[in-house]
Amino acid sequence: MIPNQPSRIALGVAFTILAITFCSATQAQQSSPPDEKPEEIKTGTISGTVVNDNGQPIANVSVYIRAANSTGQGRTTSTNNEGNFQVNGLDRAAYTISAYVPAYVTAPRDTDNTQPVYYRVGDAVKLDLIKGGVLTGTVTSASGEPVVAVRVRAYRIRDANGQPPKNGAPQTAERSTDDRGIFRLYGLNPGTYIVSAGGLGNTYSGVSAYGFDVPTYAPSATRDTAVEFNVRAGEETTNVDIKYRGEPGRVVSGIATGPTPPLPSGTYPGFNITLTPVSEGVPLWSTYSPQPPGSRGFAFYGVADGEYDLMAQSTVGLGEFAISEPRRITVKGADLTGLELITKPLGSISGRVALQNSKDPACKGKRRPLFAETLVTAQRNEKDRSKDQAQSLRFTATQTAPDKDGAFALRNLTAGQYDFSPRFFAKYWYLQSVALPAPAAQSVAGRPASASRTLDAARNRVTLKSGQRVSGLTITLAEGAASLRGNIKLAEGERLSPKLYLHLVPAEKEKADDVLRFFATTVNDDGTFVLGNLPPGRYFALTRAAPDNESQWASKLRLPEEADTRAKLRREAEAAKTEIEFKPCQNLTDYQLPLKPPLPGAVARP
Amino acid sequence: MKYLPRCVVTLALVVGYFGFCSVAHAQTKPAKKSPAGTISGKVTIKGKVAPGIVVGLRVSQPATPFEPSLRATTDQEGRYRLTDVPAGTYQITPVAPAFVVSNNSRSQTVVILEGENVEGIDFALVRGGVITGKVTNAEGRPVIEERVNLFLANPPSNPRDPVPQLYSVSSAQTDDRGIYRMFGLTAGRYKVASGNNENGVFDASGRRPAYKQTFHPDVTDPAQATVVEVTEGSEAAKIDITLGNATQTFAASGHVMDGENGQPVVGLRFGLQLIVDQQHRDYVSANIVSNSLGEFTAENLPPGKYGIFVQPQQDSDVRSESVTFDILDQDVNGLVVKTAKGSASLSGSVVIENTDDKTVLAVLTQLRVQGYVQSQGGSPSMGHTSSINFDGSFFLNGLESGLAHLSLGAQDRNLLKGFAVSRIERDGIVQPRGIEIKTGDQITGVRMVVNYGSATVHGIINVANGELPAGARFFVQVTKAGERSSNIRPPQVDSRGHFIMEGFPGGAYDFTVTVVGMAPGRTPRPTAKQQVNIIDGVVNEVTITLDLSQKPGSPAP
Repeated sequence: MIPNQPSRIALGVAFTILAITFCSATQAQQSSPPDEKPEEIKTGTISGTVVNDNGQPIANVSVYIRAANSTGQGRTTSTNNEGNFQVNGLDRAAYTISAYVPAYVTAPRDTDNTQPVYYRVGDAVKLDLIKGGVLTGTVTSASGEPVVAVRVRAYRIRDANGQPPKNGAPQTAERSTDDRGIFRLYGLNPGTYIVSAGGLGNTYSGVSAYGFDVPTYAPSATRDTAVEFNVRAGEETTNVDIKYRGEPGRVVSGIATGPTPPLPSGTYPGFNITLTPVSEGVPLWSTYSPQPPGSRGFAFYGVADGEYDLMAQSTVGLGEFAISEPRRITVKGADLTGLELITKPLGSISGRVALQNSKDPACKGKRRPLFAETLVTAQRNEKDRSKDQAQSLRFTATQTAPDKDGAFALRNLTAGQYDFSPRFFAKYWYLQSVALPAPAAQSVAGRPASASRTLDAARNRVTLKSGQRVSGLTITLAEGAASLRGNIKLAEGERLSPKLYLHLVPAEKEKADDVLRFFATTVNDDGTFVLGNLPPGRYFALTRAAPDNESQWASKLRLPEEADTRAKLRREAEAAKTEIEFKPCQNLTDYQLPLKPPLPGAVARP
Repeated sequence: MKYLPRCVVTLALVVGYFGFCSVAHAQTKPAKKSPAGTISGKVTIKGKVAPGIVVGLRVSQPATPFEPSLRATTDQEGRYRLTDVPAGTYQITPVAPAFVVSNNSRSQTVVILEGENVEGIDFALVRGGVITGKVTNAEGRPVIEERVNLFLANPPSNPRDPVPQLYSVSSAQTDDRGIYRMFGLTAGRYKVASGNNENGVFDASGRRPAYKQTFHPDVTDPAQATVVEVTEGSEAAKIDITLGNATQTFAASGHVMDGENGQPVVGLRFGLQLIVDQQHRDYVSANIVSNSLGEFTAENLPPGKYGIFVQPQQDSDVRSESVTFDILDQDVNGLVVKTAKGSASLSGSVVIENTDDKTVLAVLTQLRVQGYVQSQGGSPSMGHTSSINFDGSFFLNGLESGLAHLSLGAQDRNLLKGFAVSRIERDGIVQPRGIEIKTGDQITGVRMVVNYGSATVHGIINVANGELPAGARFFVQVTKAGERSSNIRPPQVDSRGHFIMEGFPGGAYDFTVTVVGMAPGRTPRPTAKQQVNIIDGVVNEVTITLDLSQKPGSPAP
């Protein structure tokens, strides 16, 4: 009998890492430890609680904790009867934490926040799980007989907020029908699904009776007319019945070649091939093609007519990949054979994080950022991404942690334009500059390289050619950061408009182009606001709504394409004449910001 | 019940996962020069022809997990025909998961020669039985994603093993309601259990709570289990299992220090073994790494005796003894693991004794020497590999102390065809039991003597004076003429008595045929022995006649 294996893994080997990333996006609230001196404490504890949507603790949940700067496995523990867990002896690092218990899923996070949540030693963590949804139904043949042991796969095409899958394949759940043709997919994340039976055939995993057919989408349709099913947390959607068509599909086959350095014994070097329907933009299908001498190329069976992008990926080192250009194919009434895909190594950007101390007496004895708790992210320009969706699959953002000397390498970068965002934990430090030496700066897009010998990589994106290795990126963190805590002073009868942002823009003329001195933060409903890690100096304050109700405006404000918006903001702020000066390491609290005319509209894009 | 060590299980899962997303394409396979054959037969369900059944063919002993398969579908008369089958030994299976094959085992071995048309590989199917039920815990809550195993109520007795081993014949997993359903079951008497066997390997990576193995309805003693009867097409419902409380688990922690200077060692990876008894140690899957203070913690450990040790790494010679500890009813603290640079090396050369063919020597350099050290203290052992240089030399480093066993390996097992290690010598003396290694030894002058064979054997067993009973199979043992045992892997024989052996070194051999799988009580089993002179480089036809009219007292092998 064919085991009824659960398969909530994303598509294929290449996406194993992606799947891990999904798992670690667990929602949580954290409480930060007091501002202690890290040098004195080497290891510590992260503890927490796992609760369900009623706030009840869940026992026997496995909790997986992994340092962002480690290539190895993380630690796993499980919750006790009170839903609590504790992991001791953890080194200083930025950790991701995920919780898993069968049939439950991670509670969805709000859409604005796409960044994973990181924890530090000393944090107390609350992880929210919700009961997953269920899709169940029966697969029958044209004559009404149950179709036994056919693979049924559900694709989540939109999340609970109606958003399509970002930066990766849709989540899938897969299970076989039983002897009555019944399937039951459980532990599903809330959202909108389509469900198919059959297809996805491969000859390696034993012989499949239905793997060579075109998948039949519920109720008895091809992909374009598939019925969508809503899945809600803890609810069961029944009668997801499929009248199985069993139409034979086409074959798409070929070979992949590329660099294949020796890999550790026991691993099978080879290529992971993805087949992406152009209309979907995300791969629905992947296959593994081993290297010579086992080389027989790759093949997808049961492919329906349509337009697809084919792409190959291979591993060329520990955590390093090579990929091919996506290849557009059209399947129309015949097999497509003899296709060739060539993988090329991906590019990288390396550099170091530099720490610059302050001599100001106010900053004496303050906590320094730890490299182990620092993360550097390279983010590919969204506009590049939309051009070649298939290619950008899992290489849109790369993250790394610097080593003990501050050196880092961002690997697996596709050609494109990148910006960088370091994350660090140190209240009295700020991001001073992101710079690249001049030779590399020549290839910078946008503004012509300035006369200076370094490129301001905070203001401009760095262009990376295919396979290029750029070095020398320097991210300077400086001591002396100030913080601001305050509220908007409302005159009688004045009301706060929702989704208001407090902006700080540099007041000094010579700093007017320093994007790292532009800040935006949301104003809470009660008028309060908090900003930290501010470079000392003079600023103008201004409240405005985000342009076009932009989400994540706080980070978008610094993007190169918003240069004119920033200039305009600064002119308006200068006119408003609300100036704040921060001394090094100053904590400005109870700051009263007058909401003076002109009444805040939205930030206007010129 | 004997489980495989968890590391092996994990490897199998990885391979299976690869397999899941893998597709090969028969059309892109390099065309074989030899004419391909066909295999045909008929599939019936309860005596009626069964159209639309897929029949699949796979290579019996795949060189890589990625060998493709062939398939055919039965026509309106229930007939199937697999074409373009290259010569080889295959497993053939009808894909009908709700059914069982009544005339044979589920899959049949078929040996096919170049251009051969094999006919009459028939399968008679009947509807299998169903067992379904619910697994709940002590509080009556459903236990989700828990494995349910099916055991034969009366396992076949083995005279060599006085205690009949229970082994799982099928398994299923509970869903989110705790419900499982096994189908396509052969008629018979079964016991159904969920949870972990006491001696079984568990996963200390914290994935699941562990339950003690419990049989339907709620007993841990297999003898007390209620037997479930399955008949053709029957459904045994409400075969529920009530598990006890989840096994409480504990943590063990300690620190690791350099055996020489007492300094903490950072970032070391540890292995963990469950010590079942003197002979049985099971590797426990766990991620244990020492932190920046040299501290480590092993979590989720059920009560038992354990050994923790520095996991040997290929690129490091840091080793440790296994530190044992007992988990009773609380956490264990203060374990101390001391490292030692306990690395030994072993070098020598691989020599081919019976040929100086340059193409053979070229293949040899694509192989590798594999070393495996069996430590006396039962402490950890791992595989080491060395490439083979053009002069045949090899060098294995980072070896533990113990008995080293050497073998030939290759990423692609096809390359190994024809190579057989004849003996291992150290300073001219044959080392049949392995090479003794002491800490820090730098052993040189080891000779791995290899034979290369290029003979092919096409064997046919003819049965005289009778027919084999249903379920009986042929077993062929090949030994060097006059020798009683051999390290030659027995060939797979199909129901017609055909077998193929390739890459066989020439020489005089004894071929001994035995019939296995017959009803108990028929002793001695029919046997036949024949001496054959095998010649390298050609196809050797070997025909052995097995006389079923043999009387008891005839010569046994």
